[in-house]
Amino acid sequence: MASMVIFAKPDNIHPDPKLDWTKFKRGDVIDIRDDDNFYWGEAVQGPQALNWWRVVTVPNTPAAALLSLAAGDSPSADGSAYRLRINSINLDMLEFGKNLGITDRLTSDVPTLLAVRTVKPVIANPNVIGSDPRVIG
Amino acid sequence: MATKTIGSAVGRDFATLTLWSAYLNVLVLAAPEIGQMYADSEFSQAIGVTIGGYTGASSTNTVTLNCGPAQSFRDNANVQTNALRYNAANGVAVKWTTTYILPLTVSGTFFTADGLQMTGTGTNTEGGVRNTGTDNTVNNCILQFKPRLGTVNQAALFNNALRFTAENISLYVANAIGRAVQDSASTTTGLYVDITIIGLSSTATGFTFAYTGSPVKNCPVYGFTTDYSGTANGASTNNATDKGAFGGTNFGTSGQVSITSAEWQSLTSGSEDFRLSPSSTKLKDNGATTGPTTDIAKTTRVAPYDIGCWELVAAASSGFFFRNPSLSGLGSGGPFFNNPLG
Repeated sequence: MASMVIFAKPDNIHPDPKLDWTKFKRGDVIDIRDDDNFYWGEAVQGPQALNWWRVVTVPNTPAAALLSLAAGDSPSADGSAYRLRINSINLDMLEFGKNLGITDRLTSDVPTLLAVRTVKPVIANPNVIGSDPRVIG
Repeated sequence: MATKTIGSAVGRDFATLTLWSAYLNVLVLAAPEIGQMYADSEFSQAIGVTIGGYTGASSTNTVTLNCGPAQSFRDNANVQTNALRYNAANGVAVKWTTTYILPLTVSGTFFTADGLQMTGTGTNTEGGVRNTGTDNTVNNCILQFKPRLGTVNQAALFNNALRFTAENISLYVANAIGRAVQDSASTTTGLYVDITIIGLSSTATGFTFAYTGSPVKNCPVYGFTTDYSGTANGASTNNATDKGAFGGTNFGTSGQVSITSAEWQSLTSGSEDFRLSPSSTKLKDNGATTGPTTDIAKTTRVAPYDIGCWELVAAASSGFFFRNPSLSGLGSGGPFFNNPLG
């Protein structure tokens, strides 16, 4: 009984590499709702939908059980880089072998999602020099 | 200019605020971008929202998050009599339900939030609205959060960037440990004006600057162990405190001290109403005539302004006007009655 939107656009890149962490990446879980048939809006599921998303339905699973997939780091006090989403879903694997249109929904389950999930590496604090993260440059 | 609608009704562009933020994240702005929220239902968020990632923003290519026509609490037909507190029945309202999340982070630039109600119902959140981008503004909003006591960036309204402006805000810290406003920008040229800051007997601080901060004007602080701390800009003026003297530096110029709960309609937990009381003695007419010319309810301010986000309006007249027949040159038409005393 959950529906989630996963960011699917592959080329969301910031022109300044130092700020690329501010961009959502393909595989980021954007939002999750407690309704298999949740309507995410015209920009996602309408006739003029943007090809930036993939809706994934996870039957028999409460949204609360999936919220960790959409978790991010707590922003740092100094405004330095952090992960908007800690986890990434490998959409290529989820979509493999399926001929999906822009608004077609995928159906999945928790074991499958966990199998295609990767944890993103922690983004180094640019204000820290050296291997010891407690040393401030 | 591009406007996208946000709401749960069929036909809206985006059903959730999180989704609009992900759309915004992709954009290279060449014109103003507006996210227009509709009160189809209360926006319930289990996930924190981050506004940022877009490029091309400027003083002309701005980003605005506001409400559709007649959707804000400010447009409610009963705005003058509705209790001033978070209430989804009054207009667009966003509720974050999860504990230990940061409800709204703004890392983008040239962003304005206007006319929204936002709250966090989780026991403790990592703050409320957190701004880290330059040239951003929060206007005409009702904020009600339960920030936990942690590091200094966990406040209901937090800023650490240049030129942050906050105006006409009802800011309520609804737990006993949370900070209200924390500004940690090392260099700041922003402005805080007409912000009513209320705590629920919070052991934390109402208004804090980590460095010499922006001007603070017409901001009353009530219900915190410490009212103000740090150093505000020297142009700060006409604030108010429930203490006998102002904390911090520069907050107290032309200010009011020892204000009580009687200044507002109700500070009773569960039935809060942060409209100014007609019997206000310290906040009414003791503000600086500066800042927005209307209050949080779109009432035109009349000099001298009241302190805080609410401007008291005169009691409604009976609707009849008496005409003094001794005055010549006045038309006889209209709903006038001859003044029997004239």
